[in-house]
Amino acid sequence: MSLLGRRLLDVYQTEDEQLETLKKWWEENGKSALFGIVLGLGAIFVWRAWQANTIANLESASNTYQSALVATGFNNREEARKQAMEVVTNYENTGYAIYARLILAYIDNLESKYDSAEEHLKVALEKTDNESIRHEINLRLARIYIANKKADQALTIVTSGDPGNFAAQYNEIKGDVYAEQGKVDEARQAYQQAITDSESLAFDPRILNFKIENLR
Amino acid sequence: MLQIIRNIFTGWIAVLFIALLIIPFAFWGITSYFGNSANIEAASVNGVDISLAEYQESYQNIRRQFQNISPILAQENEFVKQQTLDKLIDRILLLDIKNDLGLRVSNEQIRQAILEIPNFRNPEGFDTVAYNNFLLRSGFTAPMFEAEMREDLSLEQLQTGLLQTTIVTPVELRRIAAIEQETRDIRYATIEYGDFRDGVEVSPEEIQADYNENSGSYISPEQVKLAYIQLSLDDVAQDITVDEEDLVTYFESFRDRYSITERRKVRQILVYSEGEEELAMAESVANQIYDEVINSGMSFEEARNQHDGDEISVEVSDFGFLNQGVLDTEVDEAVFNAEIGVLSEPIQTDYGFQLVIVDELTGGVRPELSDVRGEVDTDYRRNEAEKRFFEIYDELAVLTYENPDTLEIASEVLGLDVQQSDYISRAGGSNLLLNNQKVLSAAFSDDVLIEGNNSELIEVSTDQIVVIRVIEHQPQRTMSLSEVEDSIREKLLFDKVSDITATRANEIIEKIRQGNDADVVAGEYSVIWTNKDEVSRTDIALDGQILEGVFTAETPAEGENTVTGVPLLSGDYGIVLIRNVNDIDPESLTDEDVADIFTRVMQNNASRAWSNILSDLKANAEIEIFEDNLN
Repeated sequence: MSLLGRRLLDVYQTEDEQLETLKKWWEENGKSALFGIVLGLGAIFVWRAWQANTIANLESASNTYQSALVATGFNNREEARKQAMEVVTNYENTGYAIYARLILAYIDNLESKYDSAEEHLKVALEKTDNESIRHEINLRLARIYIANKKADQALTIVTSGDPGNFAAQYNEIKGDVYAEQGKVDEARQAYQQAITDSESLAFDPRILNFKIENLR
Repeated sequence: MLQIIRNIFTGWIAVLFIALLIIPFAFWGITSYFGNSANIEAASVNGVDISLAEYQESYQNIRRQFQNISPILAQENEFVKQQTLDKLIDRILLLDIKNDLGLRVSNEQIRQAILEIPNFRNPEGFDTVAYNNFLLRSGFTAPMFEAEMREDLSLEQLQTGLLQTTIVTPVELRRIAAIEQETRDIRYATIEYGDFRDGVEVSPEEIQADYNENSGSYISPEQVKLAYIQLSLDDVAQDITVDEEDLVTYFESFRDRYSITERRKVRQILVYSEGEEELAMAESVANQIYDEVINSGMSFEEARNQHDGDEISVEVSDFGFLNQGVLDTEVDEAVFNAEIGVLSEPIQTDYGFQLVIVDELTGGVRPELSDVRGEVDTDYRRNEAEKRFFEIYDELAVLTYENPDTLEIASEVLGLDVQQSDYISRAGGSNLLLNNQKVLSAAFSDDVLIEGNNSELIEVSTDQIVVIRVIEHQPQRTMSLSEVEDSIREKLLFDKVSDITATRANEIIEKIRQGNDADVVAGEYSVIWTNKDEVSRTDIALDGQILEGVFTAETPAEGENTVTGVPLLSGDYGIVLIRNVNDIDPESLTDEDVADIFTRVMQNNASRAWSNILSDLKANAEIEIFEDNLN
């Protein structure tokens, strides 16, 4: 640490001389040392305050979201919609906003408001990074597309991209689209594939079998 | 690196730099640089370690849970191990998503959840004593437990939030409902096993041949008979004599434990304030309410109604009887220092301003021995028994170790009976005490089985131990023909008769498929058709296997039949003829028709989604299991 540092450690200096050196050092560098400490402390306090604020924000998002979720469970749609909208508007950048959109899409679907459901799911998809959750949202979107008479878009979702461990459900929806379009053979093939895909997963393939039996 | 710092940072920059470096140490200390590196790991998931201690605790919990559902599964170490690992790994993977999404439940949600845990409740409400005892027992501090609860509840939000919003569209629902409600008009007949059994013989040669061919599967497993001495805390407690003087001394020293905790019956008025802006307004409303109750003698409800139109919301609640420590600190203090029936002044808290009144109090009494004698007696016995238990435990350990080829000496010295078991295999036997993995592995260990020594003392539960030795041993062996003759005969007979019914049924089916009239064919084979219209998938009047045949059979073309055979477990053979399928038009179904199946289909989709997510997460994770540490 420069000449100054070495001089501080000089063993040949007397105590008085050392004191003198210290004083001199302080005159030269005291301000920047103090400034450094103040700067550092400031940074820490700002950071801590910011963190506390983020947490408080998150927790109040969580409270509102929880009310929405509980209302959804009781099928109190009006309340659920109100609370979920509040999360979406006031806490847009939290994960709760994504989850609140799932609630909104769920209620929209129950009320046959497919355009709005589509919109919520698309935004949720955009904001979700986790691949597994994305798959689930994709499947929901595909279902809504079918209900909204947009079979082609549904088909695009279930045929593009790597299905991961969700192959069975992608194939089931593929079958649903084909069945809807009256393509019996393609539908049967997709359902069969879905049954094969589910075998390792210990699912009850009853509904899939029903769907096959019903093709004609 | 230091050299580089030296060269680059000189003069005031260096000083500034050092000052900045000092700060983290001042705040977090040097300890954060040294983790607890001595941990042994059970597994590692995406770089997060699961410690062996954590694994073992969870293992025991899971085993205990399975003990109630299926004691046999609970003893399968490999099974319990897999369940434990799955659970711990899933948790870490889910915590990852939870953190990605940034879910975090609030302190209030945690408080509510803790208040609602049944173990921490008594008839009057939250039981602080039970809660503190739980913390003490489990070695948690309150903040640790709360942190754990925060994780659990956040994970619950993650799961519920995803599953409860599963989408089943009305279109899909109608389609499934239509399929489920479809009915079929059918005829069916069965070729009865009983009609063809007579006259079918199984010769001794056939039995011999089957035995020769399959003797590998007629095996009796290795078995042992055990002699054992058991010692349980309860038995020891029975034999403790209670001396009055000792009982009094015991009571005196643990008197506090028997006093009844003070509880206060609390009502409150809460004036909410959201944020700084409302603080002043809330305070003035709270002061008004205080005045209205004290001076105008209004009830809480009346006072609240006075402020119905205000921007500030006011809430009245009746908490019933509360223990100390349940409410927020400031309020709690006020409540437990309050005079009965006197309203407190407004207390400022995180929610706003609270006014509390105590209507009544119970407990807070120090009891006399005569009041709680029964309880003290039990506790005293148990306490004494524990001491005695460990004395006997030590003696038993020494006596059975020093006399490794008999239990008799220990039995005589300690006055404990030697008992005997029936034959037990590695999978266990009928004796519940010995149906314990530790006992079984000791029984079949080299030391006990081959060397013929006494086992070590085995803890079958926390207050019960057992020591065993093998008195008879039967190695694994192939059962003799005479032992299995009867069951082979039964099996061969069943195969023969089932073949006959199957052959006849297939002849009938073939003829009908060739275009012969079903009634004529039935006449030839003297079978009788039963007609049934509108058979639904849930028809319980029909044999389940036949019903499955009805709905897996091919759909007939208009005006035609399809026919199919259904082998039944009873050895009978069913023939199903589909005359007509009654389709349902999905569009014709009402909302009520589909409401019934909504929940079921949604749950089905939700549980598929959830297990897909878990397996998908697992497939994409880096999971390492340290098998060597687990056994």
